[in-house]
Amino acid sequence: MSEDPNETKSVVELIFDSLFMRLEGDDSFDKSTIEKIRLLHGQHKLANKSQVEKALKPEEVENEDN
Amino acid sequence: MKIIELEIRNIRGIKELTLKPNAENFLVWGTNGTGKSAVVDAIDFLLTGKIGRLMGIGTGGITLEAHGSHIDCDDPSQAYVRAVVQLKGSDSQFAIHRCMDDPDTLQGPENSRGQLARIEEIAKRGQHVLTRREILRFVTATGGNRAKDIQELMNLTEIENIRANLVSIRNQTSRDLNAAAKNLKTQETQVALRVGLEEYNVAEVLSKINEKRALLKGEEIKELSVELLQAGIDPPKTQETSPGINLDVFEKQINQLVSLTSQEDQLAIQRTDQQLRNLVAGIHQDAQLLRSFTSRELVRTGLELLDDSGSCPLCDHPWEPGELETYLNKKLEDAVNVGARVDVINEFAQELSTEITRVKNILSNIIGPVEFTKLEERTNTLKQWKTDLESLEKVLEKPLENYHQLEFSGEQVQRILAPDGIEEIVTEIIAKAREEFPKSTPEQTAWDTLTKLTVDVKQLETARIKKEYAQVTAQRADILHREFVASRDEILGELYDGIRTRFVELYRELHEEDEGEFEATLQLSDASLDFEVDFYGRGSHPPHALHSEGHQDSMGVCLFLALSEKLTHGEIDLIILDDVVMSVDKSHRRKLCKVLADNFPDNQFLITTHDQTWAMQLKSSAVVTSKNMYQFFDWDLDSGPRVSDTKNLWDRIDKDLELNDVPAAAAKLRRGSEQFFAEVCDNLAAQVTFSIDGRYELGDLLDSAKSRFSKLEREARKASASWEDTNPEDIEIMKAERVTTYQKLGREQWAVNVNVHYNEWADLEKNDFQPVVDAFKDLFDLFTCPNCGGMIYLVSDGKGKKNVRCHCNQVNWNLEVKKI
Repeated sequence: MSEDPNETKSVVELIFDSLFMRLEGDDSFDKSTIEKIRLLHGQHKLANKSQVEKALKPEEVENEDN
Repeated sequence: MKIIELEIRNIRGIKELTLKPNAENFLVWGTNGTGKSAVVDAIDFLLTGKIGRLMGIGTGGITLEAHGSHIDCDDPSQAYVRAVVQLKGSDSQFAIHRCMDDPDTLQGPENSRGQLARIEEIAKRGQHVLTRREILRFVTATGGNRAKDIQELMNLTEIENIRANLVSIRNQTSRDLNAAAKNLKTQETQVALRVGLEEYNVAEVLSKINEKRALLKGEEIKELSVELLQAGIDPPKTQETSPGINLDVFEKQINQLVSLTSQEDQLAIQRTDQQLRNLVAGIHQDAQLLRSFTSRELVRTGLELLDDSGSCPLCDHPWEPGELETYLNKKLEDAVNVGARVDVINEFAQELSTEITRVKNILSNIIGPVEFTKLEERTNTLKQWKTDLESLEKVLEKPLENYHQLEFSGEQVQRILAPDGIEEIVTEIIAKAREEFPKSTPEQTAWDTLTKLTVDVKQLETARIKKEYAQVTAQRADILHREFVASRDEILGELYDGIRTRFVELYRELHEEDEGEFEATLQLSDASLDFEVDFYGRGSHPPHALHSEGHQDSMGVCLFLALSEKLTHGEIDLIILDDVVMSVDKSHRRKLCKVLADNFPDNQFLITTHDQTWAMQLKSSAVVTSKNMYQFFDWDLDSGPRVSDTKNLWDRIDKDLELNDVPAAAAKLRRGSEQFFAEVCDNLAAQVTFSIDGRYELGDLLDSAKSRFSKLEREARKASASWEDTNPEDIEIMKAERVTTYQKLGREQWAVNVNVHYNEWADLEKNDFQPVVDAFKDLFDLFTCPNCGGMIYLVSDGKGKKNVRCHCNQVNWNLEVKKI
């Protein structure tokens, strides 16, 4: 078995590693938004439209919606 | 995971079968209809709870529940597959089991549950089975379907679902942003109209507000905010007005409405409308032009996909090279021209929308007070007017698609923007309002205007914040989608490159004699995976464009093996090749054996085939050993396939002899010998009298094999002598063994002859037949390596014979004589 942990990661996991690295380097995304997206990924809910839309909204809007 | 033992009960065409491959490669072979694929189905069911062949296109009405068990098995608890398996990196073995009465549950030991779940997950994607259907899927599929199929193998369906969702969210948030921007514009217009302006300009709005504040002795404000509008001023001590309605304000708005619908304004609108109408009609009149525009993305992609052949990449219709490219470029040029006209259309539509917004806002402001005057008919007219405006506004959102519809003719649009008899209507309304609403002082009007503005500005502020938020959300959605696709392309690009490299390595190995420089491309392009291969140095083409079916089969196998290696991370060692070399020629099948043996020594292959030559090649190349070859024959409904495994050939003959059943033993020996010596003759290039039906009997094969062996042995001795090899020990030993074996067989020649020529072994007594069996055992051993169990074979290089060897090289006789 290879010692490189990436060797044993699934393609999906590698894609998300790359995505989060890119988002962390983008000023449009604050930490809290990235965390919300990460959480949705963990829950396999990134294909859920309303949940993702909610995560992308600025927090003030989200509070208003609530 | 490797299979040590496999037990199948009442699955598909098998009633009862046990195979014991003992973690080694195994072969199931036999003519069509003997139940080979049922073994594949059984393993598929064991690992996934499903049977792939019962699913997909063309399997309507077929279900696992109704068709997974043997047709005569009514009790699903008696239909099951059980296997003793060994997991990667572990010496321990344990049993797993899946039954038709609970197909979703793979039963196995608790402490291996995690690893089994992972194996099930990989197996469910079909990464362990390659059939001819899959080969075609990988090789001849369109780029889009290939990407979809391979993404399914990689479990990337989730990724595609997420991508589609992110596209949807990006589009939705972009629409939300447009709506928010439009709402902001509406609110700005409302504020402008409230202070008597037609266009919103914050400085002018403030100036108007300060005029009103001055009337009420208020100081000038420099910022438009709800808190400041009435700050520092008191309401005038004036008369009561009817519920919040200021006659002056009302009349000003009515006058604005009249102004907006004045003849001068209407003429300008009419011109815009006519220009818009002409442009839209112009595009719609030329169906070809409209098609060019609506299909511009497809045309653009088509141009990218054109290859040297010039054929249509969509339907494969042949075109002269360059002809289709010229045609598509013309279409694209038309589409670009139409695009410029569409931009103008959108500008005109925006102008009309702005006008509609103004009129609609005024109507919103005055409908309430008009209702108060109890002019019911007029109220309804105004409400209908507003509804018509909203319909027209909707149409203008997509002018190219909607603005040529009959219900929105030029005349109709005119009527919507300025209904007939407006002057008469407003005259009546104003007259009635003057009766109903008292005249206000300028101070009161100023105060009332500021009060109304408080609501308007609050809505404006809310609209502005909402637009800012919508902008942030849309921007994030756009970036998220873009970065997601970039991440996907980056990772898949690396992966596909790795798969491509491995595929090329394997294919070159398989076709080294004529395609040693073979190259291929496997590239992700949007949602498509483009696969092209080099055709003898004459450029890249789709794999099914120029290569033969046999080459395509080779490519399918190599691509699958490369995919398997990259995608399973070695978690499933078992790879099933289900009748995959149908079109591959004999010499390349032998090379495929070598590719499998050399490149995948840690995998366990289950290979099924109906082709005896391929079966024997697998054995002689030591990909499978004799003991793991299971020949299926004489399938019937009640007992399933009959299985003959070479491993047990001698055991089964011995058992027949124990029972004094010489006819049965004789039949097995004859059948087994025919198979064996056919392969020997093929391996050693022995001359056999040609038969057009391809059927050779033992008499045709045995003498040829023996004399060829003797001849090659003599040549090896001669070559050895030429190199002054004083100790050609192995050849001498071989000669001695051959002589002894031939002599032994010679002693039984009378008995051999009756069978070889007359098929009369069956009439012999047991004591007469036993020495024949022993002589044949020794003869089989002569052609088999004692170390690897593979059959010996002749290696030639086109110029002449080079050597006789076995797969492990323990047997290796040089045949090349030293040149003097």
